[in-house]
Amino acid sequence: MTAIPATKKKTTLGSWINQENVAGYMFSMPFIVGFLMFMVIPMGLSLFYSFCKYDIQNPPVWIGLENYIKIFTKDPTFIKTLKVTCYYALIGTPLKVVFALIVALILNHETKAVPLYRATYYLPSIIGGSVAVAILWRRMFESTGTINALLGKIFPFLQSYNWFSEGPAIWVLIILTVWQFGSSMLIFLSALKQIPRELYEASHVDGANTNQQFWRVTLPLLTPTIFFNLVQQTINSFLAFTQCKLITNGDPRKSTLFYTVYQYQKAFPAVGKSQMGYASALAWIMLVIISVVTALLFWSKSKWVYDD
Amino acid sequence: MKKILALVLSLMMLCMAMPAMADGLAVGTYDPATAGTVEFSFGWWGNQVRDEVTKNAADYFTENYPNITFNLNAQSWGNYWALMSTYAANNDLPDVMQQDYAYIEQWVEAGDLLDLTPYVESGALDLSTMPESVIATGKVGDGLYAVCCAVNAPAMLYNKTLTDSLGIEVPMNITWDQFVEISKKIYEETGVGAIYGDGNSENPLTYYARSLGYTALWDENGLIPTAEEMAGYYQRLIDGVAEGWLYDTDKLAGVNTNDLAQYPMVYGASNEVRAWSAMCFSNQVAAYTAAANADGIELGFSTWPSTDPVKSNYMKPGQFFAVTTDAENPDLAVAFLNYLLNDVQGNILLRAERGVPPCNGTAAAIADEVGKIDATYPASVEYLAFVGENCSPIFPPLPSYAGTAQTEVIQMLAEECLLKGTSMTAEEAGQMAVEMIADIASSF
Repeated sequence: MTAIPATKKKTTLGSWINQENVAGYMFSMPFIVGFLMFMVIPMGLSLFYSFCKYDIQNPPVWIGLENYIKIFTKDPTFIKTLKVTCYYALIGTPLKVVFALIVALILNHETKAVPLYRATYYLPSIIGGSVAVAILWRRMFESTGTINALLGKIFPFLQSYNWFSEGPAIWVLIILTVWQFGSSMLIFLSALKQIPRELYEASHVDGANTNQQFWRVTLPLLTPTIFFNLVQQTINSFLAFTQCKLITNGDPRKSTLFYTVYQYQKAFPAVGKSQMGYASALAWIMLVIISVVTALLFWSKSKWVYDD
Repeated sequence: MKKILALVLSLMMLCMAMPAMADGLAVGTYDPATAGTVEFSFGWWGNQVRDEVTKNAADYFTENYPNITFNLNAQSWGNYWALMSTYAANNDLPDVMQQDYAYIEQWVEAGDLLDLTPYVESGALDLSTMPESVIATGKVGDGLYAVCCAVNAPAMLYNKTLTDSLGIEVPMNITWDQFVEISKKIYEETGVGAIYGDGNSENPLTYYARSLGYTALWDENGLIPTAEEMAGYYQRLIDGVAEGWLYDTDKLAGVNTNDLAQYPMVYGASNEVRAWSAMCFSNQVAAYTAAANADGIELGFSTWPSTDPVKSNYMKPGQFFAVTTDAENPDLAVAFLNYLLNDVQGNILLRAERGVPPCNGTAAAIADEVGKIDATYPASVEYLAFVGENCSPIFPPLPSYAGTAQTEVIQMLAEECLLKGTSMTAEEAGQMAVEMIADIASSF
């Protein structure tokens, strides 16, 4: 037997890895693995569970559309939490965006203290979603808390106001989300810097005052940013969890029960069996709702967002 | 002290009469000398005091078993079950877990708990001084799946400093009418309210059903009392709120009733957010007393209010320890379990915080020592002796749908009836309770 002359160079690990496509796959591997493990597989599983009766401890049993039918026909809490979540999202989000815009406009000046202010105002957003803030918030609004102590100095009848009663309780959560306006504010600030100086100069020459400049120049040019913030924050509001779980836990009478917390209570009840299948079905319904709301926002885009 | 203990333990036997046990296979015992280094996990729910004493007891165990590293998992009641069921899904339960009388059945059905019968027969688990009737409370079918580690009873704690200052005497075996009268008087004179029937648990309802002569609140098919009888309970809540002395739904949302240390009986800067009493269990006395001491008040004991306290009251096998099927080393888990039940020094370290130990030998051996460390212990023992003489046999373990019915129906109805100016009538609430719970029971 004669040896076949080596026509091809032997592939070493080094040369194999140096190939462009292999390197590409290697670099994107962390994302691909993470995406599969923590997104695609769990989502697939939850879609499967949503058609099952599944209590975590025992194997899932296929029941078809039963969970979905029960949610839409026999679950008043579903409707209630949906209302609460929409109220929170549709009132909290615009308030937050407007508040962020106002603060951004105030901070859009070149003075020495501005960087300090920006950092200070951004701080609540960094610590915002945390457990510590939620607990602090609860303490502040307790009937013997800081807020009532301060309010009581001005309005004595508010001294022992119960912020956690039905009605005001949801506003405690809305005020918290509005207070966390920092990230939207930073986006507004950078957008404000992008507006060409010439436009202001030109409008000034044409005799526009500051007020007119804001409505005719600043605001139209900010609409893409407002749109972005609105979409981002609306989705965040629909997915809000920590605030509700830790501050009110849905009390009183589910008047502050967010959809996500309801879902969690179904999946991990304090007593009794888990209804993971039911909770998964709730999650998929939420996905559809968020998609629809986002689609509506995008549909409205052509009506009010200035696009050049 | 020992006399009272003996009385308590013998009464326990009477109060918890149940069937006997079956046989099984021979198993090994754990020998630390031949085993390598092992990690051992132990999970429970409780409070700060319990966490500390349990840690001390686990540390002491490692003196004899130095190759063990403990992985202790202390949770609040609210988080415990959710966490444990996720562990169960992952086959990653702690080697030994705390269990509750109400939920054992559901965990055995899921195949998560180990049958301990063979270990009792091999002698690795010594239950020789535990009354047969108490052992039986941990049985499901023929198997022994959990061992009772403490006995307790429902207890009403109250702010004795407050009642003394108003010249009010709170009697033992307090009736519902007496409770209402006292609550009204306290509310009118100080503005301090009372908390009763909030959605946290079905226990007050069970207590009410028992006062009517039933043993339990529910069976496999739903509620045992009729809609009219249930309405009687909801009427109490509606009346209490209308009269002002009972915490309404809004007021409850403004206080923390889940965290013992912040419970309105022992916490709160103004009378509007205080309550004069708390419906709890006798094993929570030590923790409540610690909080009361921090608050500068003294606590008193009575039973829960009921029209017929003797029918309502019961001795409860407080908590259970179970070895899970995920335990890597069941022999070691059983050795630890045996230590928790029978070791005198270990039980002194545990300070009977979970309740009076059910093994007669252990209970008698630790009585004096624990009494020295924990001043509330003799009072608890005395209280249990009283309840033992004034109680009826406990209800059977809860049906598997009970937890869901509790969160979806009982809590909801309590919130509606406790709402100020509620539009719901007691009759409607009673009717809804019966119908909705029957519905849940049938679909489970």
